Amino acid sequence: MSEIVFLASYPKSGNTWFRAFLTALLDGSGTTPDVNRLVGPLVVGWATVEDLLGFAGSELDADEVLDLRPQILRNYARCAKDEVVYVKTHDALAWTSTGEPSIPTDLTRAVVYLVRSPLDVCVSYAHHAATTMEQMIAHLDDPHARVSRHSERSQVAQPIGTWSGHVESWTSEPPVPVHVVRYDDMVSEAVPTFAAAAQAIGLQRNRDEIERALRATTFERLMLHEREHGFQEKMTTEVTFFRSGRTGTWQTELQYDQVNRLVESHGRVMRQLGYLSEKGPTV
Amino acid sequence: MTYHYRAHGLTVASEFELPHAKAVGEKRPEVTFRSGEVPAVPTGAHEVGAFCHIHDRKVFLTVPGVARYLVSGGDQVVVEPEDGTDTASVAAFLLSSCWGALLHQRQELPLHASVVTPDGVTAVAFAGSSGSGKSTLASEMLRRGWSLLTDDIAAVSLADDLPQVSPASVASKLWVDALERFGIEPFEHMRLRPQLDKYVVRREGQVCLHPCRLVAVFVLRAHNRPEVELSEKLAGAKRFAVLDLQTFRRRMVAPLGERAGHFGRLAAVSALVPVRSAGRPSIGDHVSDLADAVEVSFERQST
Repeated sequence: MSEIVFLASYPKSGNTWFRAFLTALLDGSGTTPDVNRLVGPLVVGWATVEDLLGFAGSELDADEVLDLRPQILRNYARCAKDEVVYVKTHDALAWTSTGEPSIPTDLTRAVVYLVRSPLDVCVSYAHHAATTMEQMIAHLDDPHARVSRHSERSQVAQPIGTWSGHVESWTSEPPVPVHVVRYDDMVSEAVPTFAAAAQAIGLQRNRDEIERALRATTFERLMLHEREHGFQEKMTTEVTFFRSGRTGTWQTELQYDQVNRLVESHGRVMRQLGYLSEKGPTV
Repeated sequence: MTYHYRAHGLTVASEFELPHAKAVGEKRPEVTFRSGEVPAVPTGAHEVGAFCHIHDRKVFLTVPGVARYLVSGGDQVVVEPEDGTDTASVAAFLLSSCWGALLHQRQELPLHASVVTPDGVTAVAFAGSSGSGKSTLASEMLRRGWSLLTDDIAAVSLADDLPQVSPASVASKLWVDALERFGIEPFEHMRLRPQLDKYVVRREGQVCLHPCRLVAVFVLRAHNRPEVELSEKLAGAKRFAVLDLQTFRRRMVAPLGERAGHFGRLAAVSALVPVRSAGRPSIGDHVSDLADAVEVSFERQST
C-alpha cells in the first residue's frame, strides 16, 4: 500500500510551481517537465472519485462526500503502484462527522503546505478567475468558499473557506506534521527552501540536483511550455496560467482601502507568517 | 406493493418505486429488486472501490447513510436500507450503480451514456463521466424533437450483428441550473434525493420505447478553449480504448470474470460504431453549439 504525500495550499499559492519542481526532481534529467503531466494531481474529478468509491458519488451531497474523503484517498493509495503517491489538494483540512481528519493520517507520509501573502493571492486569484478585486476580497473572507470552476459539475466540491481559516486548518495543531513553505522564500531563497521541502517529504537530494530541478522549472520555462503546449489548469477566462509569478504585485494592483480590509480580516495569520509587521504588510 | 418496469430490455419487479423507469403491467420478471438482509462482505472479496466488493461474482455495495445492496446472478438485487433512509435515496443508487453491476453480470456492455434517437430507428450516444453534460445535451436534443432512450446507462448489445441500445429511462436527471436553462419548474417531488438540487424530469411523449441501432458515440469533455470542438472519427485502436474508458463501473469487469467477454463485446461494438470526442468550454452555456455540431455531424454521417 502506498503512502501519500499531500501538497496542500489555498489556490494561487505556488502549488503548481512546486509540483513542477518535484516532477523535475524525481526525473533528474534537467529537462522541463510537461506541465500537463506533473506529479501530484488533484483527486477531485468524478470519473476518478466514483471509481474510487465504487458508486455514483455525484449523487451524494457535500457533507456526505466530506465524510467519505478519507476513504476516497485511502482507496487511491491502495490502487497506486508506487511506494509514494503525491496528491495535490486545495481543501482546507476538515473533520468528518465521526471526528476523523479529512485526510487518511494513517497513510500520510508528509504534508507540504504552501502559503503566500493573501495580498498577492488576491491579485493572482482575481486574474485567474476573472473576478474583480472586490469579489476576490469577499471570496478570501467567505467561510463557505469553495474552489469554483464556474459551477462545473464534473468535480467534487473543494471547500477552502477563508484564507486565514485555510492556513490555520493546516498549520495550527494539525493531526500530522506539516512542512510549511512560503512562496516568498521559494522566490528569494529558492535552493534552501526547496531543499528543505524535499527533505521533509523524504527525498534525499544534493544541492546540484536541487539546482538542476530549479533551473528546469523557472517561471520563464514553464510559461514558454504553456505557450507551446497549452495547460489544462488554465481557466478558460485567463490568457495564460503562468502570468507573473512575482511577489509584491499587490502594491500596484490593490487600492489602499482594499489592502486595509484584507489586513483587517487576515492580519493575525499574516503576522504569524511574517507577512505583517508594525510598519504594515511586508514586501 | 410491487412495481413493474421495463429497462435495458428486461422486465423488473421492484419493491421500490423507480420514477425514472418505464412502468409496465405485471409480467413475469427477469430481474427482481427486493428488500432483505445483506450479509457482511466475505473475507477475501475483491475490492472495486472503497464501498464496493465482489465475491464469487456477487457484488456487495454500500452507500454510507443510505443502504447496502447485494447484486447477484444478473437477476436480483437485495436492498437493506439504513434506518430512516428516504426511499428516493435508496432508489437513486439502485438505478445507477446496481444496474451497472447487473448488466456486467448479464454479460452486456454498459456504457456511461445518455442515448437519444431522431427517428426511432438510429441512436446517438453521449458518453462521459458524471457532470460531463450528457443529460443536459440529451435534453437539448429532446427540445429539438429527438426522443430519449436512456439517461445514464446504455446497455449496448448486438442484434443481427448490429449494435443496438435498449430503452431504459423515461426521465432525465438534471441539476437545477440545467432545469433553469430549459425553463423547467423544479418541483419538490421531482428531487432525486431530498437534499440534492438534482431533479428527475419525466419525458412523457418524448421517449422511445423500442431498441434503436447505435450509429454514433460522442464522448463529452470540458476544455479550457473558447469554442466547442468535435473531433474527427477516432481511429480503430483509439476508439476501442476510449469506449473502454466509458464502460460503466469498469473496475467490476475483471473480478466478475468478464475480462475476455468484455473485450470481445467492446471489440465488436467499436468496430461498428464511429466515436468522436466532443469538447466544450468549461465556462458558459455552450449546449446549443454542441447540439448544433452533433446534428451537423449526424446529418453528414447519414448522407
